[in-house]
Parts: sequence; structure tokens; C-alpha cells
Amino acid sequence: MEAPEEEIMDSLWKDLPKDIVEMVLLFLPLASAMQFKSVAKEWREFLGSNCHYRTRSAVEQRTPWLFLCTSGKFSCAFDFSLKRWYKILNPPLYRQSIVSASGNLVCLGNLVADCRALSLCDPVRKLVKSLPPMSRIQFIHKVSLNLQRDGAYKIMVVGENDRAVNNLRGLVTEVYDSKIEIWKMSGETMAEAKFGLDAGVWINNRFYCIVEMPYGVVIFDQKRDLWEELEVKMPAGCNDMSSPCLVECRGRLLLVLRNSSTESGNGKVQIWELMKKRGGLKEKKDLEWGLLEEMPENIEVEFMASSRLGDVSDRLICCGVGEWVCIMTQLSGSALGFNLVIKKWEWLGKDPAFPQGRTCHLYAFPLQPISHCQL
Amino acid sequence: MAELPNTTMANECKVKLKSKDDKIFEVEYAVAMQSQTLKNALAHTGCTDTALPLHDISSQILAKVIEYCEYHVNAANTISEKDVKTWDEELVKHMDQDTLFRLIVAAKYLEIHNLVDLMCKTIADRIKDKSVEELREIFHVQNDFTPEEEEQVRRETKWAHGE
Repeated sequence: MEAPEEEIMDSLWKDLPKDIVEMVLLFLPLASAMQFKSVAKEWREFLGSNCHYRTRSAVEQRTPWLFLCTSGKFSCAFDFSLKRWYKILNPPLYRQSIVSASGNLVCLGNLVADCRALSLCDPVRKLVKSLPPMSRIQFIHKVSLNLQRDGAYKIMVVGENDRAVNNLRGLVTEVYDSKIEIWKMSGETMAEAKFGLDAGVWINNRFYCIVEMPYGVVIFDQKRDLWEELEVKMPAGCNDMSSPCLVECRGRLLLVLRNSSTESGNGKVQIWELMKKRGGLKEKKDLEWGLLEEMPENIEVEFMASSRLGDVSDRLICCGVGEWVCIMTQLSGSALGFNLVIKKWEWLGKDPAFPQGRTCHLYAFPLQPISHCQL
Repeated sequence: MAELPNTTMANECKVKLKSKDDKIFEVEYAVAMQSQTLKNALAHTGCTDTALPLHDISSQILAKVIEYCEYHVNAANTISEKDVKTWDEELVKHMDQDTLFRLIVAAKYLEIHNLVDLMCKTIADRIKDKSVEELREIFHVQNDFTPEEEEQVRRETKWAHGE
């Protein structure tokens, strides 16, 4: 909602009953609420209280932050309500960087070197929690945090055993359950799969991510504890040059890619959605990727100009934030958003860390600050 | 959910409301039920021809409340999320502060939760970009921090003050 510019507020607001003022404060974006702690002692107390935090997260579905995990001292967060970027201090953990996020928490680990234990962090409240080490995995291929409605969480990790000792071929999967605080081995061993670079998404306790060679989508079903392949043909033009990313928006599974096929894409950035086949049977399995939206020409020109998607060093980084599909690239500064409900493209500006923080692999996640999980 | 003994009565019952300035408004039962306060009142009286007096709500504000409730009574089932959002935004877009103020107080009294949330969000949006000093003026609050204390609060919430 656009506020009128430079509005002078009448003096009548001083008569607003205190309980209503407190309710209004709940609806402020977090950054504003934190700034207003400086108004007076009573405000500081209220805005910092657990009661306020708890009620905040129970309030209407607020659009989360677009959280860009840049390497270095800060990560950057974009607030859709204030249309501003903020710098959030990265937790100073040795040899660990943000590898996943869910709700108000980020998960830290190492994807390039030996990593047996992960950590969790609430970057706004500056709380860190070390998790017990995994039972077998030493080298992580894929990791994802899934925060549930009740504040409990699960962490899924796919990786390799100790390389020296290992006779067992293939990748193992372990799941951490916050309710019992232990890692459990999944019954499944995967044949060597080459995971794509995207972070993957959770929908209804199923984890979807991209695999390469050939390109496809695999799913880890947490309830049934097994991996399956999504038996749906990928869009034509999905290959090494297209940098495909899975995105989740309001329970919908989307695929963003740069379609290099000359018949169907011509190098355009496209958003596809997994949907029921038109005229198909009502069975759940009758699915196909349908083209939802293509980046319009004027936006595309600017987007391509600031990126280096033509060469292999650059790649698309995408995530779903509320009703927004957010699209960036590893090497370009500007973030772009597509609103699924009103079907509008909008530039989100440059993150304040740019051009720093782009040397390591970049991740983007929706982060809901001061949400319901207490570390 | 209906407090009335049978559904035909619920369908036919019209609720009468009387504003502060003695104007009578008649609404459908389902429309009135969006107000928790009215719902509780009608649970006691049943369907009645007597108008329920709303001593603190003017006819101008009551008309706005009714407008909101009449639109929303079926919105969840029949209107798209996008259209509801647009309608809500149009309702508050050019609303003057006096109306905003009186409407949020009325919505709170009548316990119409969606409307309260909408009003809160609207006011929050109008103040979210303001400075701390401006907030003190608007809500008539004294700065009771010492300079050292104020500095400390700023430091604690450093990130929120942006670049």
C-alpha cells in the first residue's frame, strides 16, 4: 500500500487508545519497529518484548525479506514494504557460511570442504546454536532446512561418507529432527547424483531440487523417507547454459531458466510452472511444465546488460518471497522481482554489499525475521 | 456458527443498528455477524426489531463499516484474493486521518478483525517511513531516555537504521 507522500499527521493520534497503538506497531515492517524503540522507554520495552515478537509472527502473512547471503561481513536483506535494503551481520563462524534458510533461521555449514556439523542462527536476534554432528556424512552435497508451523524443524543432508573408509557407493541421506535432537539415517542410498547449484525448495514436506546430466528434478519425501524422480519432461532448452532454478511461491512449484533454445526461448529468461495437464486426466501424476511468464523485452535488455549470463561464469539466482519471484545473477548487482498476483515486473535495486560478496557461491532465500522459531 | 435456532430465521433476519446521531441502518444477519460484538449481542436478544444502539459511532463511520462488511461477507468464497486486496486498498487510499482514526476505533469496538487489521496496516504504512522525532510528535510521547541510553538503543538496533 502506497502511503501519501510527506503527510503531516494530525494531533488527533495522541488520543488513540494504547491497545490500538500497540496493534498498529505490530504491522510495522521490522526495521521501522526496531527504529521506533528509540521513541520512549515504554516503546522500547514493548517493541523488544517476547509478547510483541510472538504476536508479530501470528499477524497476517507478511512478505518475508529477500535474503541474499553474500560472503564477507554482511548479508543483505530487502524489505518489500519499505523498499529498502539492509545489511545484516553474518554470524562469525569459522569456516561456515549460510547454506540454507527457513522461517527466521539460517543454517550454516561448508559445501566445499569437510563438514560434519552444522549450525543454526537467527541473524536478527543474533542467536547461534551448534547442532550435534551428523552420524555418517562428512562431505555435503545438498542441505536444506525446513521449518514447520509449530516451530519444530528438520534438516535434510545428502552427502558422502568418510572417503577413505568408504566401501559403500552412492550418497547417503540423513535427517535431523529438532523434536528429538538427533540425526537419523534415511533408508535410501542414492546412486551418484549430480545436484544442481540451486538451493531447492520444500512444498508440503517434500524437498524438490534440480539434478544435472540429464536435467531433471528429484524429490525427497520426508514423511515416506524416500527419493523419487519427477517424471515430467523438462522444458525444451533446459541445459548447461540455461541455469535452471526451482522456486516456490505460495505452494506453487516454479522453474526459472534462461531458455537458449531458438524455437522456444531465444535466450529469454522464463518462468515455468508445474501444473496439471490441460485436458488431462484428474490423476495427480498428470503434470507438465507450462510457460507462465517471459521477461519483457525492455526489462530483459537491462537485465542482460548488467549480467554475464552469456558466459558460463554467471548464473541465475532465484527464490520465491511471498508472491514475488526474485531473480538475480551471481555477477550482476540488480535484483528483479515478478509479482505473481498482479503480474508485474519490478526492479528491487542493488544490494548494498555489491560488488563485494560475490566471489563465493551466492544464495537467496525468503527470510521471515522474528518469526516463530525460538533458538 | 449461527446463534439463531434455525437457518430460515437466519436468512430472513435483518439487524437494525442505530448510530450516535440516531440514524437507523438495516443489514443482513450474515453481514452483522462479522462483528464479534454484534454476534454476542444478538446471541442474547435473538432476532429483534429493536435497533442496537452504537453510542460512539457516527452515521458516517457506521456507513463505512457496513460498506466493508457487505463487501467482505462473501469475499472469501467468490472474489479473487487480488480483487479483494484492490478493493481494500481503494477503500483506504484517500481516507483522511479523522476518518481513519474513528474507523479503527469503531472496528475495534465492534471486533471486526479483518477491518481492524486493515486499519492497523494502513496507519502503520503511513508512519513506517517517519523519523523517531516525528513519531513522538504524532503520539505525543515524551523522550524519557538520557542521551547515553538513547545512544545505546540505537546501537542495539543498528542494522535497522539502514545505510
